[in-house]
Amino acid sequence: MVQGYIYILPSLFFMVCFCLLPIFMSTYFSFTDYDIMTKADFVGVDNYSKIFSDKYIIDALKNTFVYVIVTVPIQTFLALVFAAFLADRMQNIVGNFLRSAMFIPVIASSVTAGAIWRTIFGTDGGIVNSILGIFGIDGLNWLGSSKTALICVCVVAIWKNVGYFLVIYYAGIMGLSPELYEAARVDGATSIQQFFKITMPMLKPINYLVITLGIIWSFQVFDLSYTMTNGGPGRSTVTLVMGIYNAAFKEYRMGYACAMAILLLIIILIINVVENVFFKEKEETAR
Amino acid sequence: MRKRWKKLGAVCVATAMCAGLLAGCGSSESSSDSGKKTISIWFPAYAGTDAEVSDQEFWEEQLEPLEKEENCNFDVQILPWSNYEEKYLSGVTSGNGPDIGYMSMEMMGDYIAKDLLADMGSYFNDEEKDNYIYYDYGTIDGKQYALPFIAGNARILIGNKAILEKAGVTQMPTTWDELVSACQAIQKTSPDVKPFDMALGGAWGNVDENFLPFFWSAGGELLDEDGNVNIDTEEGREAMQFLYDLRFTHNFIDESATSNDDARIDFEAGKTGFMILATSNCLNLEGVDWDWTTALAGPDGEAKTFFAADSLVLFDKCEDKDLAMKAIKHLSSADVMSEFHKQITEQPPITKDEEYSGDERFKELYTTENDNFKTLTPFNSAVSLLTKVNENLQSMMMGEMKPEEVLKNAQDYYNENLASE
Repeated sequence: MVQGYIYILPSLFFMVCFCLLPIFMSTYFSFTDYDIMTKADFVGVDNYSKIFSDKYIIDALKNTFVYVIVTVPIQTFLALVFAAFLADRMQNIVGNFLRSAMFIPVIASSVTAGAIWRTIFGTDGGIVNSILGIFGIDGLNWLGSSKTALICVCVVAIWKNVGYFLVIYYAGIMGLSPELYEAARVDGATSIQQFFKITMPMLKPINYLVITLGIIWSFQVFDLSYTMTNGGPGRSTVTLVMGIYNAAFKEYRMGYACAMAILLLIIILIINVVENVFFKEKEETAR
Repeated sequence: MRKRWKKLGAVCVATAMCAGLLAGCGSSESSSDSGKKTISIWFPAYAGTDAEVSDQEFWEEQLEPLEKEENCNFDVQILPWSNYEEKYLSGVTSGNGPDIGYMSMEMMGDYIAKDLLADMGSYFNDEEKDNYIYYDYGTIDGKQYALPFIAGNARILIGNKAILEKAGVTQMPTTWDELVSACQAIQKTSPDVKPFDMALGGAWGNVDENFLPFFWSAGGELLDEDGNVNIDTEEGREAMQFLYDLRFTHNFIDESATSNDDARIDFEAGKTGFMILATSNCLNLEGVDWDWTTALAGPDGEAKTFFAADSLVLFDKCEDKDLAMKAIKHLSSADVMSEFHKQITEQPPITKDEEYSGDERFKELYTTENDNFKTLTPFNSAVSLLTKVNENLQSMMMGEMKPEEVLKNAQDYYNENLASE
């Protein structure tokens, strides 16, 4: 038994040093006025009360929620549909290739992806506007308008994440018993009926995982927004994590940044608890 | 037997993981290595990707004679420009910052306010002070916190000669009104050309072109007489209204400007009449014949433009300031700087004993006294204030903020969150 503890000691040390300790330190600093360069002064809940009156952070919160609401459902749906299609119709070399190809954006650097998509969405000479021009449609100022910039960031995020969740769904679908589908076919169920009556219910645990991961990652968005638009134009693509980064490293308000980080942690925890309750209720109802 | 090997394997893996973790916790190089003092210097990257010699090679070669003379080491690190300020912050706050640094005026204010920079004034005699052309730019609150090192790169107004000729504009505009008239002429004769362009989609640094020349020419000042930030003034609002009118009243600036982070591309392609650009970037323009003027005079006749005065600074934590100052003087000497200007980047001389070796077109600009030049006086959270101004300027150019709100909004944010008590 002691050997077991020795074996997990390095991972435990890693988790304490790089996960738990920073959370405790951030919590401590969130109650201080700390500018990184000089010592921290205790200020109580001043930082927290400032967050809710700071319109820049409110804008960042709104942008982040919009980003989550747009990105998570679409990437989850697309990953599930593509995985079901590949599992049902493309269990061959072409299907393998497509699965691998769709995983490439996942491993691509966010900085590179942001730079490339910035060119694709370029107003003058960008690929999207060039294609629209072929059909006689006027191009848009995709990344220069507050109406479209955040949607563009969402599109790139979906493009980048679908491959990852597709692989998870694919593995889940391949693990389902084929006899269920055979029985359904014998009873005359169509592909769509099989999908909704067999695949979807059986994939509940995987749905829970994909949605949870999707929500956590979406709330933490920073790199794409930073590289594609740097939070602009104006503040239309500033996210909460960008707000934390700016407060900490550009404005030297580490205490305030820590308060925002703790707030972000609480938001994600609440959402995951609600999600957990929702999925458990559904499971109990199904039983 | 097999179990024993498994146990041994598990212990080895666990040890390797611990060793890997602890390796990252190693302390930084000590400042004294086998008796030799080490002075660390951080420079930004200036050499192009196709340069014959890299920044690292250049500075090490230039410091070699001093290393031999003083029997010391100079540890040179080259930082890329992306996240330059954050790298300094991480280094300084973790105790791994440099002894000698290179900072823009915008960056410096916070370090001065936190007493992290040393006063270098006592290390220069009168003759040396007189030799440095821009010495006074580095005097802040009566102390010499900075020695201007890369000075120049003025933001000038450039015009496409072919487009101007077609529009019948025979001379470069020198006032706001003349700019408007010239742009109107371009609109009539070249409807497919953008009369005026701005790279509004970039980071805060673009305020050097997009905001400061107009703000200062309108008579605006970033600081009041007491040294407090005060940008929401009548002059500031006048400048914002002028920019707003360029975009919405006259339609000289295209809506694509808010997603554009490099206006040079369209200028080189012959799609832009006028733009404001740094002189070093002007020299790299290809395929376009251009004319220029230093600055545009605002309503009261003041013509000001941004002039960079990036400086060497001495950190207070430096253990051997005498040696560090010898390095600073050596690096800023005519011999070293003339090589720097030839091999790495063409910039105007910073000392009177260095011959101007730059482009002939800018010789007079940089060798005679110029009232048009203005640089930033360092103040607390300058980068954050200018970031807010940049964001608000983008919002205004999208029609989402009124001109009078741009500077008020930034000023209010600064007063509530960033102003030191």
